Formats: sequence, structure tokens, C-alpha cells
Amino acid sequence: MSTLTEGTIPTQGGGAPLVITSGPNVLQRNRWWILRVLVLPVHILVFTVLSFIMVRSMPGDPVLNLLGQNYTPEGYAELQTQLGLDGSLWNQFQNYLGQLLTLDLGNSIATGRPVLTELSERLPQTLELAGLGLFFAVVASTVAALFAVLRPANVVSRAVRVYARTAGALPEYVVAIAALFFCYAVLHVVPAPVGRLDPALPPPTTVTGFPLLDTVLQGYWQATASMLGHLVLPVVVMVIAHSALLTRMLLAGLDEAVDNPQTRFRIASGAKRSAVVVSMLRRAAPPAVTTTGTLFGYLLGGAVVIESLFGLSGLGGYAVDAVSSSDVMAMQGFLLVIATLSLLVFLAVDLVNMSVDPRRRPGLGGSSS
Amino acid sequence: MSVMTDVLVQAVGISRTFGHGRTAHPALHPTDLEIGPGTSLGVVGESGSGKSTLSRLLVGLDTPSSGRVEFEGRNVVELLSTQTGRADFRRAVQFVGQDTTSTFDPLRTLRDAVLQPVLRLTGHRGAAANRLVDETLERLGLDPALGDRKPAQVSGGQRQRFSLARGLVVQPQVLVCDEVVSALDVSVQGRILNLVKDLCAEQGTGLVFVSHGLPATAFVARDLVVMQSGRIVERGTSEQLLSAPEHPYTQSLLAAYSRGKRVQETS
Amino acid sequence: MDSVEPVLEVEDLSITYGTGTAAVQDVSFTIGRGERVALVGESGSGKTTLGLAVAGFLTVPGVRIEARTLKVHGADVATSSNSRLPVRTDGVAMVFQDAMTSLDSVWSIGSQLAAVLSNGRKRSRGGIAELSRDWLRRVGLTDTERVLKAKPYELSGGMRQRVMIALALCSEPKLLVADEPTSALDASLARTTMELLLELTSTVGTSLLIVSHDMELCAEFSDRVLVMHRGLMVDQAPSNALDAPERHPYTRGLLECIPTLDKARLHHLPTLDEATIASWTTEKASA
Repeated sequence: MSTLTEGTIPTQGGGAPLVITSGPNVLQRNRWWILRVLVLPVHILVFTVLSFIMVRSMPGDPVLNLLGQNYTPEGYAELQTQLGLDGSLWNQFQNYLGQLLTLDLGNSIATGRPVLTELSERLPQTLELAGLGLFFAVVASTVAALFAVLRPANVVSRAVRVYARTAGALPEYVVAIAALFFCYAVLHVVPAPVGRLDPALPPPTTVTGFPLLDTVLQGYWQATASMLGHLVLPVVVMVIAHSALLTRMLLAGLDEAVDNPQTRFRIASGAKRSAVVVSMLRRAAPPAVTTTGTLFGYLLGGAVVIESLFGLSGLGGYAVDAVSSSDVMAMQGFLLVIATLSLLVFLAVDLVNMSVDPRRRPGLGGSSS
Repeated sequence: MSVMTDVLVQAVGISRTFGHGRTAHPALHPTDLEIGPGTSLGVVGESGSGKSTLSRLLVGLDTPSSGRVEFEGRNVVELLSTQTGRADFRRAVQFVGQDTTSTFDPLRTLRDAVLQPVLRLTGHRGAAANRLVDETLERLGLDPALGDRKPAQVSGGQRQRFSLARGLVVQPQVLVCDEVVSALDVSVQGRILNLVKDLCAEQGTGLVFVSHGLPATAFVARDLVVMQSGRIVERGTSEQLLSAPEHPYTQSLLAAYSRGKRVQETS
Repeated sequence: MDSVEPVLEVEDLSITYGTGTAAVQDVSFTIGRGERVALVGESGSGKTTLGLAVAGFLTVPGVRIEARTLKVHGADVATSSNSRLPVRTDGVAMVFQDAMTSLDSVWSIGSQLAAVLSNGRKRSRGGIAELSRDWLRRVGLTDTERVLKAKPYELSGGMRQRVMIALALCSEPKLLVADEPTSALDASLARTTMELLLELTSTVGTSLLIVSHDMELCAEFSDRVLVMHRGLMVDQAPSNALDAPERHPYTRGLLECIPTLDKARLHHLPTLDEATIASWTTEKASA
């Protein structure tokens, strides 16, 4: 532990020596994120157990679904074994865990194809949609909140504050239907909600699996334009429905940051205006960053609704189908993937927060004087 | 140093360390101290000297890491774990601190705050209790109408006087004050210092006055201890320490205040 | 006083919060180049409000500033703006009482210095780094590399104070306003801080306005003392003659109240009460 030396003028008596965490023990210093990463698989395991129990407790028999009305007990037993649904629940769970370790999520009961394959076809589509929604929601909220705080007398600022307080109460499907009604049915400014792409255009070849990205990578600009056109309304709906929460968090954080003595001294010392605003944002960021993580969770869930209303393909549609056909393997796979995604997002949020604000790291920081 | 006739609270080898392991910080090294109704003691030191830690240990607001504090022969830590013990102790030893905002219930009137200790710690009730409160407030120069206000509705100086009233109303045997004038305007400080000195003399209350302001402390108290880095470095009467300090730290403290003479000497 | 334009010119300045009574009423004074002036008063005197207004921090909605003249180095000081974020007066810097709460806690000292040094003037990164190290040395810090990389909570209290002063002075302001720089400090540290402020402002050529309730300490470290009470400026006096007979009774009364070592032997300390003060301040005295 090394101490910083001071000039010749003596310090106040009795203070504890201060600490600078320089030099040795990289492991100690990085403990804060290493631990968080290590505990992730444990969480996933716990969720696997819970989702298994939940799904298997649901009413509906997948075997019966496939067999239909007339069946024989032998035929039932045969199909059951074929599908891997025989034996005790505990046995089935053990088998399932064993399969998971080889990243095998089993086969869909409805289609017979591996669940992992089906999910990996659809996951990028939903991720792209939710990602676009998140990105624009963050941008819109940040701009709106900054403006509202810095120019309080402006009428736009007041509108932003009202929106932040009330719009969060509007569910997505209400906003979506209203938007579709006005923009499509009445004003005809957006294309029909029947998917991502104009039906006349052939789909892009799969490179990454992310539809919009694929069109860009291939230089398939016609498709890019068409997709953007189809995605405008869904994204706008997501932004309107979900930005309110984020804006509220940012407004609260920024309102506090403006009056903060640290901001005041920044200005008093003559720092550049941009530096002052950035430092305010950084201070206001942590609760907003956590909210962004939660927001992503909402967006993923809302993807089911958005995908249905706008006719977009993705995980949402897959899950809905799986439920109606009692496809337990597909459901389990879906839940597991969504949960792992969410956990990863929460981990990322925590890590960003702790790196942005060192005071939040467990173990480091703290003053002495 | 004057002889203590009546020892009420005795601190034997008390020390206090905060934190543990690498971040352990010894705020107070083993110290002995005796106080009683005849005490008139000032505790002077800069921040980090351990003076506040010492005062809190003496009144049982903190537990020593080593050593013990005894009240009439009984261990204070054990005493405070029983209701009767607590009442006995608080009846005899009162503490008034610097913070007047968080130590008052913001929803109750100030008069109520002063009445509470009377009801809790003494046998006085009803008219007798109210009379006691009135007398104390009057003695502290507080307009009774102020008592109907909430803590946030009066000035810092007035709040501090109510805080002192709360401490003195039960007529304790010892009053421990920690930085009670430091946050106040200079014009108000003199009044409160005068009051503390007079009231303790009148009521026969022992006084322990903790502060980083040497002149104010030397004024209020007859005896003085000087603290540095968790230790008492010099003890004596105020008169002795002001005129002939022995320890270099005491001398440097005096040097920091001697500018006062310069201003007064102009003609 | 030389004929060079004064650094700060104030004439008939009044400041009101909301619709209440004025926090500062009809105040007039000037500060010349290189002068050290103390603005002294008790709580409610308006001294802090005055200091903030001069630095440009009261341009927020809800505060009304009216003045015949309010100029820093010949340029008018802004009295209002439509931005919630105050714009500091050009050429005026300010330091506050507590360095711990003033320094930005999530940024390194180096980046905070850079934010100031890169404002306005075009400087290279190397130039900024060199200047930063230079300023840290000037305030008495020797381990400059470590300090530049450190965050405020990693430094001791004394070092934070020096960093705060370095940050305020590195933009080379014409006037430094220090708001209660010694109020939270022990006597010896208070003197050290004042000595540091004085030494640095004189080498940079910055005038100094100290806002404080410690009249004695201020008198020792300033050329002139301005005394305020309830928004009025009741006295303007040279620091070495604060108890002269021509002084305002409030000034002398305050001086008498200060607990000094020789007063420790008195039976009772002298006091000031509101009624007496009120009778004095009805006759407004101005220099």
C-alpha cells in the first residue's frame, strides 16, 4: 500500500493514512466482476429446474395432441417412448439435464426438428427487433430528458415531463393498435403489417440470421429499404410504450445532478459545458442503466405482442405455437433461452454500472481523511 | 489539577478502534478519565483527535473496544441493557451534541421534545413537569412561544438552546456537550457559552465541554485536557495551559489562536 | 488604487429569492486588481448570495437580480438565463467549503483538470498534461502522476482542498470567490488554507473575494473587509483598522464577540442582541 505524499505544509493531525490501490494483486482488484460472472451458471441451473417443473405441471398432454381422437394404449405408449416422455418425472429431468450439457434442447414435439435449431433461426429476428427498440428508446429518452432538465421553461420540456409520468401506463398493444389504425388504416403512411418484407421481394440469404443486418451485408438495398419501412411503426410503438420509464429515471437523476455541488463546482472551475453535461449524465446514469436492463426484459416479452400484431416472425410466435400444441420441449427450450438472455443482460447492466461508477464496486472505494 | 470529590463516571483504559484488519483505525488509545458533579472539564483537539469518540464513550453512546466505563461502580454497557439501568444513567448523565436537526423529531413541537425526558426519566407529571420545562426554557432565554414551533421553524441558535434545555431539564449530575457552539454565529456563541457556564454553576451540574475551539473551551471550563491523534497529551487547569503550556502540540494550538491579540492591539 | 479598470464593480445590487424580502439590498462596492477582499457576516446576512451572484450562479429561475452596475472587468454579469444550468461569469472562478462534496467523484483529477484547461483555448494533450502537473506542483502536491490518475475519494482531505484550488485557478480567472473556505476546518488548517489561497492568487494575479463568517481570520488575510447584516452592507473597512472608532458599531460589536484567548479569562463573554443591532443598522453606513 503506498501513500501519496504531500507538500511541506503539514496536514491536519490524526487523520488515517490514505490508500491508493495501485500495483499488485490484479485478481483482488477485479474481484467485483469475476465473482458476478462465475455465479451466472448457478442461476441458469436454478431456472432450469423451475422451468421444467412449471412446464410439466401445465395441463395438456402432448402425446394426445399428436395422436388425436382414436388411439390404442400401445400406440400411446410407443409414441410416448418415442418422444422421450416416458418414465418418472425425475428420470426425464435427469435426461434433460444430461442433454443440456451437450447443448441439446431436445426435439420439438410438433415439428420433430431440434429445438435449438428452431430457436436459433428465430432468436436473431426477435433480438434485432428488441435491440432496435431498446436503442431508439435510450436515444429518445436521453435527448428528451436532457432537454427537459436544461430548458425547464420550454413547452416541449413540460410535455416531456407529462409524458414520462403518464405514458408508462399505456400497454404496448393499445399503442400498437392505435398506431396501426392511424398510420396505416387512416393515413396510409406505412406498409401493411404482414411481415418484415414486401411480399414481392425475395428474402435475403441468411448470413448472420439478423434480417436487417443481412440485407445490409449483402448490399441488398431494396430489401433494406423495405424492411426499414416495415419496422418503423413497430419500433415507434416500442419507443412510445417503453421510453416513459427510462425518461422518468433520467429526469430524476438529472434533476438531482443539476443541483449537485459537484456539478456546481465543475461549472465554477470553468470546465467545458460538454464536460459538465457528460459528468451530469454519468452521475445520473446508474439507475437509468439498470432500468435499461429491465426494459430489455419488457421488450423481449413485448416482442410476442408486437410480432403478432405486425406479422413479424420470431421467438414470440414460436412460443405461442408451442403453448397451443402443448409442445413441452419447445416451451422448455424457449424459457431457458429467454432466461439465459435476461440473466446475461442483467449481468452486463451490473458490470457497466460498476465500471461507470467505481463507488458501486463491492470492496473498493471508500474515503479516509 | 483539582481533586475530584465525587466520582460519578469512571473510564478505565478505554480505547476505540473502528474497522478491522487492514482498514482498522484507532480513534482513541487507552485513556483514563473521571467525571462527577464537581467536574468542569474542557476537551480540546482538532478533528481526528478522538475527543468526540471519548465523549460518546463516556455517555454510553458507543462501546469501548477495550477497557470499561463505570457509573457508580456499575459497568455502563450492562447498565444500558436494562430499562431501569438506562433510566438511572440518563437521569444522571446527559449528552448534547452538535447535530440539532436529526436529534429532534421533526413532527413534534420543541416544547414537547423538552418535556419528554422529564416524563421518561423523572417522577414529575402534569403541572409539575410543565413548570420544570417552563423554568428551564426561561433560564435559557427562550421565548415560550417558540416552544410551540417545530424544529425546522426556528434558527440554529434557538434550536441549540432547546437542545441544551432538553439536556438540562432533568437536572442531571453531569452534562456532556460535544461541539455545541461550533456551527453557530459568533454573536450567538457568546450567549450560549455564558449560559452553559452559568447554568452548570447554578445547578451544581458537572460539565464536560468538547470542542475544537480552544478559546471557547478555556472560557467555559476550569480544567482542560488537550487531545491529539487519540491520546491526551496534556492536562491542567485552563489557566495553566493558557499561560504556560508544556506540550508542543498545545503550544502550536495556542499559536494558531494568538492572532486575536493582534487585531485588538491597533489604536 | 490605480486607474486600471476594477476587476469587480457593483453598484446598487439587490437580489431577491421568490417574492420574499431581499436577500441582498442596494449593495455597492468594487474590487481592484490584485486586491483581497473579505465579505463578512453572520447567517442570513446575504454574503453567500452575493458571492454566488457575482460568480454567475444565480441566473436560475426564481431569483431576481437588479443592479445599476454589475461588471467583471468591464463586462456585464449575466443576471438571468433560460438554462437551468448556470453559466459562470467569464473570468470568475469559485471554490466552496467542502472539497469532498465539490470534486466530481467518478472522474480522475487529471480529467477534471483537462476539462478546464481545454475550455476555450486550443491546447494539445501533452500541453494539457504538462500544465496539469504544473498546477498540482504549484498547490504543493509532489506526487503529481499519482494524483492525476487518482479519484477524489483516494486522496486525503488536505490534498482534496489543494486540488480544488488548483482546479479553480488553472483557468486563470481575474477573480476568485471563496465561499467559506475555512468554516469546516480546524484553526491551524484554516490558517494554512488561507495562506495557500493568498500565495496562489498573488502569483497568478487573481483578485480574491473571501466570503466568511470568521471576521478575525479574514481580517488577517485581506486588505479590506466588507461587513454585511441582513442583506445590507453596513461597513467597508481596511483590515488593519477594524476596531477604529469610525467603524460601524456592528463591526466593532461583532469583533468584540469573537471568543479569543484573552477573553477566556473573563467571567462572561460580550454578546450582541438583535435589538441593539437593529438600532445600529437603521442608520445604513456605507464607505
